[in-house]
Amino acid sequence: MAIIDLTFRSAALGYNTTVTVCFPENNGSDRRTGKPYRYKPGVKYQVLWLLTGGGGDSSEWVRLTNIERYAAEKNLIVITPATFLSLYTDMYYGEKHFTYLTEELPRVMRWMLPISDKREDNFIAGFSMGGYGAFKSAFAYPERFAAAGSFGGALDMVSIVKSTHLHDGVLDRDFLLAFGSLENLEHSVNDDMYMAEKQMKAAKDMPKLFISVGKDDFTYSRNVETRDKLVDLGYDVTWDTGEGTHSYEYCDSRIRVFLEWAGLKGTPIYDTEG
Amino acid sequence: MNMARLQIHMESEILRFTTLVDIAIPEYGFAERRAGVSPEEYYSEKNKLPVMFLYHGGTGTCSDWFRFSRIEELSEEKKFIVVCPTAQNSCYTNMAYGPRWFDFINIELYDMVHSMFPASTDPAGNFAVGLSMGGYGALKSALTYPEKYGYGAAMSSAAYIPQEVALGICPLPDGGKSIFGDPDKVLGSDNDLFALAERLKASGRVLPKLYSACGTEDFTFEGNVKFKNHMLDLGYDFTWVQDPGSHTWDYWNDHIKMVCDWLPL
Repeated sequence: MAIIDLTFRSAALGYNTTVTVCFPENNGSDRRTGKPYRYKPGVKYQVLWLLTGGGGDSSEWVRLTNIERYAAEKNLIVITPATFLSLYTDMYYGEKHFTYLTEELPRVMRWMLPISDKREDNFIAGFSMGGYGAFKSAFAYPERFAAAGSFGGALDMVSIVKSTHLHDGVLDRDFLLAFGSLENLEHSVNDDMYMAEKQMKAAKDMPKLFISVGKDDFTYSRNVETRDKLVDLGYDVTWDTGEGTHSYEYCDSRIRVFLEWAGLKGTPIYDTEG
Repeated sequence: MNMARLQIHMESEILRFTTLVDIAIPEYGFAERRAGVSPEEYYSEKNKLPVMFLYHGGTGTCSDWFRFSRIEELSEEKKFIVVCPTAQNSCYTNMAYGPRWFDFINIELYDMVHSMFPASTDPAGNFAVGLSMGGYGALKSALTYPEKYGYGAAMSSAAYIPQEVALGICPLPDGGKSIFGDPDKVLGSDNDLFALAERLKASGRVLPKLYSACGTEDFTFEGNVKFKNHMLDLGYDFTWVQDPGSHTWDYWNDHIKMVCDWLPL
């Protein structure tokens, strides 16, 4: 296993931001088990774009779960960006985090690191607000991802905002900065359920979805409702639950289930063009 | 600055432990925008950058060059990747009694960098550069693997250290035995740069272009003059810079810029 703490200047954000990357390196156990030497020019890997919860930075998944080890088992590169309080949006008052996540980060990482740009090799998942970011990305760019996963996800953003974060017509601060207003949120790219319906009605080939939530997670019932809506829309949804709360401890116990479910190749991809 | 800095915690098969590597990769920046290059062109698979493997000195570590010199800005300006390994106090050798740092850096790390990052595999775009103990290591990398490194550059290099070990005047705590082994067998070995250069010259293989700078107040000065004379006698393309200065980061910070001007960047 190897881990990279990466800092670079994002043009979309306008400042230096951090990215944590897990990558499977050549090691002694590879040799003992007869795996081929992987440090060849042209080698590529499948990739999981892994998103933190609100307020998180790029280090959380790696510090608070064992994702590095699980990814190495699957020969998977994991890329975790920092997103802070952006709600993965091009903020109404703030930086363009969704542009960063969906345009700049893939472009820079695909150049800098040996990750495949094929749909079948790209997966996206996240915890809490990161689950929302993952599904939103998958709904906005279904042609890029084979599958998306959500752990205790803040899914169905309009419903969340209406029920919890709207007071006298004004949004709570984080939501105000991200969306500006409820009207701006509704029927925008940030309206995950609207996008889910719109894209499915456009008969797009949508990524398969994995919704996981702990039995004692405060988002449990909303996740059940969201699952039912997505199933009704015709999505291929896998439901997953287990003991646990809204926590990285729960994520750690279920991310391996997600990796199994995703149907990963499990090996580096050697047969690239040239 | 439009630079990506990467710190890698890398489990090495050759070392059999996890080691740190610091890397800098220039991003798309103002120079490209002014030149009319689009981000799409810059971030295309075709865009491979030259690589400088940059070695720290004795007692140092992989972050030294970034903390004590302006190498990151130079790499942004000249558009090359900087790879700084850690080699502890090994003189970048496969230690007689210790880890195989030389193989780690010149085989495993070299291959990892070229498979992981947008790094040129052309020897004309691969440079081994270092200071003091790392200068010795850089010269050894280039003289051992000229097919990998087209260029080697050293500042205040410990090029003469195997001779000191043989003479019993090496200043290292154990006289260099843990690194070089039996002092009576150092001369003529693959750690002896004088002998290595002779053998490479006689082999008919491609020769690296080399650069050596040393301050006249530096304690390595006399050894460097001897090595310079040896290399010029052998007919190497060997650039020698001798100027006021001593064994300090001020000197290395000034001279890494001169090295960048000397390299085909």
